[in-house]
Parts: sequence; structure tokens; C-alpha cells
Amino acid sequence: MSDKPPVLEAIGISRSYPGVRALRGVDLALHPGEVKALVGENGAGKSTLIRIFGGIEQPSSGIVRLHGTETVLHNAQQSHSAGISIVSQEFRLVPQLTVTENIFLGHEVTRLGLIRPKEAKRRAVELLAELDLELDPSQTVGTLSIGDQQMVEIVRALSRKFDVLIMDEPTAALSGDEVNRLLALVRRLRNRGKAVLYVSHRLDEVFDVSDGIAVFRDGCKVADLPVSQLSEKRLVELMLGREFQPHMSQPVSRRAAADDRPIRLQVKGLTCPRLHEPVSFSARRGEILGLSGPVGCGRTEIMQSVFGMLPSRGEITLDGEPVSNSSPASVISSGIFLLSEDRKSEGILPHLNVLENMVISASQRKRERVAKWVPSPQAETRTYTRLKQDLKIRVDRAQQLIGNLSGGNQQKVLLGRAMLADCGVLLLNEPTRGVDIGAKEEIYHLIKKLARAGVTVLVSTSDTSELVALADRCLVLRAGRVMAELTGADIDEKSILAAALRTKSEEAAS
Amino acid sequence: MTNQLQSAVEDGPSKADVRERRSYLLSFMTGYYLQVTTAVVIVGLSVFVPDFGNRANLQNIATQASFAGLVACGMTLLITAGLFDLSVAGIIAVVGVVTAKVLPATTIGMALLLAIAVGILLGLTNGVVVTKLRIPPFISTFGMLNIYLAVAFIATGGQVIPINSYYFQQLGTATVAGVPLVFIAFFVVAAASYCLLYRTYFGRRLRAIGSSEPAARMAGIPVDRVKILAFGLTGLFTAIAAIGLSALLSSSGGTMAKDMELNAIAITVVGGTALRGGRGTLLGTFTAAIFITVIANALNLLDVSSYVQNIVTGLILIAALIVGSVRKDVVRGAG
Repeated sequence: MSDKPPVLEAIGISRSYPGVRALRGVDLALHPGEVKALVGENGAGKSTLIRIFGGIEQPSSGIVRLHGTETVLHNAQQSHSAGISIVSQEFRLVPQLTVTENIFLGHEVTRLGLIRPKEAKRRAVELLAELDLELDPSQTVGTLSIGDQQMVEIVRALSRKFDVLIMDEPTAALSGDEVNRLLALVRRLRNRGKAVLYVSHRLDEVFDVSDGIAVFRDGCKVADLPVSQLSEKRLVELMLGREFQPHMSQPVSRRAAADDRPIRLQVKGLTCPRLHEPVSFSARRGEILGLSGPVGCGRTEIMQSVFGMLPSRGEITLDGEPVSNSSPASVISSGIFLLSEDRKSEGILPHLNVLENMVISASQRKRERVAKWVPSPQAETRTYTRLKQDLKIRVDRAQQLIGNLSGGNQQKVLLGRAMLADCGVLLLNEPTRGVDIGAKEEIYHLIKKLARAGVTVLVSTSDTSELVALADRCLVLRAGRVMAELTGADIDEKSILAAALRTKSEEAAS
Repeated sequence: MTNQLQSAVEDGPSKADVRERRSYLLSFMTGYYLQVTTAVVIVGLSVFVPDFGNRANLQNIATQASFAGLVACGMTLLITAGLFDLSVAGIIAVVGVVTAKVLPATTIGMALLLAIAVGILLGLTNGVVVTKLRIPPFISTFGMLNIYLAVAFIATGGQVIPINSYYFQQLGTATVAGVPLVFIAFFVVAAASYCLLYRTYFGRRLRAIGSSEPAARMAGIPVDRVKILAFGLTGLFTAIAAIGLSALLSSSGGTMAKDMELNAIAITVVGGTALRGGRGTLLGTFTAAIFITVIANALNLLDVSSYVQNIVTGLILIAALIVGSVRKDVVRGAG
């Protein structure tokens, strides 16, 4: 394959954000008729490279070459017309439109500026047949299952003229059968001379379909080898890095598996969207329970269901008392608080100042008469000043709007909010997303401090090092199932990754 | 009052060097631009327009500003929470008609109590329709407007009901130390609304909901209850306006407050409350009610046709929105 000149090349691409270098001098070449897999942990820089190919971000330095000529991709439109088609990780579908309309969104089938619905539908049927999909092209996308939506997203990428197809975790939401059909399609595309860049966390697929594997770690490409020269074991080592050491802030004494602390939170037979089978688990007083797994594995949905944000069935008890999870307000009043992974739209209240953001959920149980209606500025300032010191929040004035704070400081304010809510159980979704390294360590420290004070903490994260640093116990999920439960010293990046990546054969054996 | 403003006031010129004092003056001017403009306009008109500055005309302005101003206080609370009420003209009609109907048969006190109760009830009904039936406020309160107006018309048979009680009429015309009673009511309601919005848990929750409803829900705020209460308060303030208006007109009828919702929203927006929620200013609403009435009054005195008056009102509204969008940049991270 390498006899043909590469169709798409990245040469010395770097991309830095304020304080972070997401990519450092990465080279990557894609040849026609080649499937290249791109693997690496979250935050290794895979998505950044894809966004650069997609024209959504510009490299700080380095160049992109298309068919040997240097090209600058200013926006998504230019990337499309250059022959690059991308299946992104997040769905970009419009739920109210039909399958056909979504497939051709942005490049509608037209004549004289008018849409030709019949022609569009005919082509949609053709494209769906490529994937052996039996979807009705006139069905609205919002009514489809997540897996089918993912397929529509893929068909949408196929509907454009392309030389290069980039797929960012296309199988995260797919079932085994759907995955097989997708892999068959990728092979057909390769035989037709297309270049495919395939990003996945599932190593069995990677070995199954790709010709070569590029491994990213911390923004660098650490390996780019033909698949014949790699084993799964070697690949995991490459992803984690040879110099892999246990996390520096690893707790000295993890709680032993045999634990005599009372059970605080008990979830029995919880069913909710994206979960393939009911989930049961419990967490003890002062325990930090980790939920791990790739994006789309269902751990976010478990947290949201417990907190009453998603419809769910199952039994939840707190210290033996049943919890009604009909709404977040009722869950909070039973003593469970959640911080969302989407801090911007589900966390901060942008028009309110830092102090108000912190005290907004403060427990009202102990207030009487006037204090029930009117907050005391002195008391609130005292609370704020105390927590500001405890949480090491760096902010000049309490009256500052929270939107102007850094991600780490915003998260600390929200942790303060959770603490004031007087809850015995804290659910944290991606607690350090968008937080710089320094604040990250401080937040870990805080979470551990809360646990030592008796709070039960659930941490759901795609960052495995976070769980190594924090968790006493860890559930590993994949595709809506709990794959493994790790305790104590067993929690390291390797075993979490191994559990999440377990191949199908092992799955069948277990 | 905006947070920017609060901080400007609190920071003050503590280190009294000149540069800081100048920036303090600047932020005072940008913070209170509407108040400064209104004051300048009133002084200018008093000098240049004959009859503008006399006592009777000023009392007339204060009275006229109060009706839409009272409703605008409720509207400010609602818009701060990202809500709307287009049904206020209907509430005024129903409250006015109920008051006029019961007055001959009962005491003024009872009639007032009943008027207030009806206003609150209709407001709460709006709130329930918006939150429990999950119909967007724009549509649902527009529907309620038609229902309330129809009820008022049916109850009166399309006629205007006269009010003959002298003491009741006094509620619209009496003055205390030269200040019209309805204007005092407006001032008290505006001040109370300010305290409500910035000094109580309820107000903080309203602002939180307007700032980001998903985040407010996640913070455990009983969103529906807070919204219903805000509609109820708007009903209360609107009922007070209805009492004053029917007293001044000595009558009640279905069309007594036509276009009241648009006037109230215009006042709120000109006052500087963000249409997208999260930030509300009662001082702005109070001033804007006076400002808009002053302009209309002056144009009347100058014999400008009512069509041209509408053009002027429209221009003021657009100018206020432009100023608002410039000031909005202060709130970073607001969706």
C-alpha cells in the first residue's frame, strides 16, 4: 500500500491551548486503500488531531497535506470539499428530522435550489443498504435507538464524496452484530481504495480491521507500526507508556475489601436508557466508588438515573431509607447531590456571583422564621470565606460573576455548593474535566477529605488515572454492562483498561 | 441592579486617586445611564416645553406611569426567571369587572380584598398552565389573555360598568403630599420587588432559574413552585394596577387595559432587564416607566400625532435593546 503516495498527511502538527499542549509535533500519513487505527487514552490528542483534519481547529504549527499539496483547512466546509468525511463521537443529528433529511443535512440533493425528496430517499436507501440497515428512511431520527442513530451518523459521513473517512469511536454505542457490519463496510471501503482513520478503544476491533496502528500518548505519536508487529499486550504498554508507574497521589492505604463500615447507598436492579441489563451496587459510608468505562458505556446514565434526571426503574436506598428519584430536588432532600460533567450548562449559574453560586443549594432544614425566607449576608459571607479557604478557591471578590473563573475554580465553587447541601452521598461526573493539573490534585485531595469525613463519593470518569488516584473500589462498564469490579490494590490503569477492553472471546468465556 | 453596578458601588473610590475616581464616575454613568437620561430629559422638557413642568401635569405623568409600571414590576420578576406573561390585560379586565360588579353590594375593603384575591388566583393559574401542562409561556399566557378577556366581556355583555363610589374613585385620584396614591403604590411595589429579587431566597432562585434552568434544577431548586409563585406575584401587582385604573376611569370593561402587556414588556426591556433571563433591574423598570410616560406626555403637549409617538416609542425600545446587548457582554459564560 505504501507504494502509492499518501492522500492525507499531517506533518509536525502541534496544537496548544492556554496551559496545555494537546499535540506536539505529530506526523501521520494515510494512504489510499489503508485502514489506520488511532489508539490512545483519553486526552492523548486523538480528538484534537481529528478536529484539525475536520477544519474545526487550526494547528499552532505544522502543516496538512492533501494529495501531496499543502492545504489549510479553515472550516468544516473546506474539509468536506477536500474529500475528508468524519464520523464524530458526539451525534450531530437533528432529532426532529427524518433519517433521509439528516443524512443529506448540509449537502441536500437539489435541482435548481429545490430539494428533490424522492431522489434523496432513493440515495438514502442505497446508502443504508451498504450497511445492511433496515431503517425506514422517513422515520424521525429522535425515535431511533442510540445504536441506529450512530448508524445514521455513519451513513451521513458516507453520503459525501470522500477519499478519507475518519471514524471517532464509531462503535461505542453499537451492539456486536452492528459492529461486525460496520467492520465489513470498512473493509469494503479499503478495497475500493479509500483511506480510513479508525479511532477506537476496543482493541479487538482495532486488530481485526486495521493495517497499521498509530499510538498516541500525551499529545505525541509514540508508535506507528504495521498490525503484524504488535500484540495486544504490547499495545496496552505503548498506550500507558513504558515508564508506567502507579499514580503518585495513590492513596497509601486503600480500604480493604472486607469492610465493616455501614452501607450508605444501595442501588438494586436499576434499569435506565443505555443500560443493557439491570445494575446493582452499593457503597459504604466514607467510601469512594469509581465508575469507569469508555464514553457511552452507561456510567453517566447510572448517575443521572439515581439523581432523578432520567426515567429509571429500580430500588435506591440511603441508610436503609428508600429514595424517591422523581426529581433532583427530591433526591437532594434525601441526601444525595450530583455535580454534572457539563459544568457550563448544568453546573454554574452564569448570572449569579460566586457566593450565590456556592450557597444556592444550602440545606434549609435548620432555618426558622425570617431566616427561612431571607438570607443573612453576614452568615453567608462567613460560610463563603471559610469554604473559600478550605477549597483554596482563587477569586478576588465574592461578588464576581462565576463565568469569569477558571474551570478549576468553578469546580471548587460547585464542590462547595455540594458540601453546603449537607448530603451524605456525592455523585461526581467527570469531576476534573477541563481542570488544569494543579487544581486537579487539589480537587482529588478535597474528595478524599470528604470521604474521610464520612461522605460516600461516587466518581464516574473516563480518566483512568483519576480512579487510580481516588477510588477504594471501581466498577468497570462497557456497552451498558458491568464488566468487572476491582478493589484495593487491583485498581491500576492496566487492569481498568484490560477490563474495559476485554475481547469477545473472554466475554463469552466468563 | 446589575452585578457590575453593585460591584462598582461597593468598590467605591476607596483609594481616592483621580484615575479611580474617574473610572468610578464612568461606571456610575454606564450603570445609571437611564436614570441620568431621564433626569436630563425631565429638566430639559420643564425648561423648553410650556405646561410640562406644572404640578398638575407632573401628577398626571406620575399617575399614568404607575399602571403599566406596576404590571412591569411583575413582568421584571418573570422575565428575570426567563418567563413572560401576555395575559395581564385580561387579568386587569377580569379584576376590574369583578370589582365594579361587587362594589354596590359590599364595602370597599371587601371589594379590594376580592380584587386582590382574583388577581393572585389568575396569576397562579397562568403559572400552573405554564409549568404543569408544560406549554411555553409565550403561547399559554396568550391563550389565557383571550380566555380572561372573553370572561370579562361575557360578564359585562360587552358594556362598560360604571363605578359610582366616591371613595373608591379617590383611590385613583387622591394625592398624599402632592404625590398620587397610585404612584406611591407603584414605588412601594417596585421597592418590595427589588428586595424580593435581591434579598430573599425566592429572588435568588428566580434569578438562578433565569440564568440556567437545567443548572437550577440540578441545584435542587423546586423550579415549578418558584415559577408559579412568580406568576402569582405578577397577578397581585396587576390587580393593584387594575384597582387604580378602574378607580381613575370610574368604570371597568373588557378593553380597559388594551396592549398593557406590550407596554409592560417595553418598560421592562427599556429598564435594562435582560430578555433572556438571569438579570433583572427594578430600579431600571421604575425609571423606564417614568421615562416612557414623560416622552409620550411631552409629545402630546407638542401636538405630535399619535402615529409619530408610536415611532418614537419603537425607536426607544430598539435603542434600549442595543444598549442591553452591549452591556450583556459583561456576563461571560451566559448562554
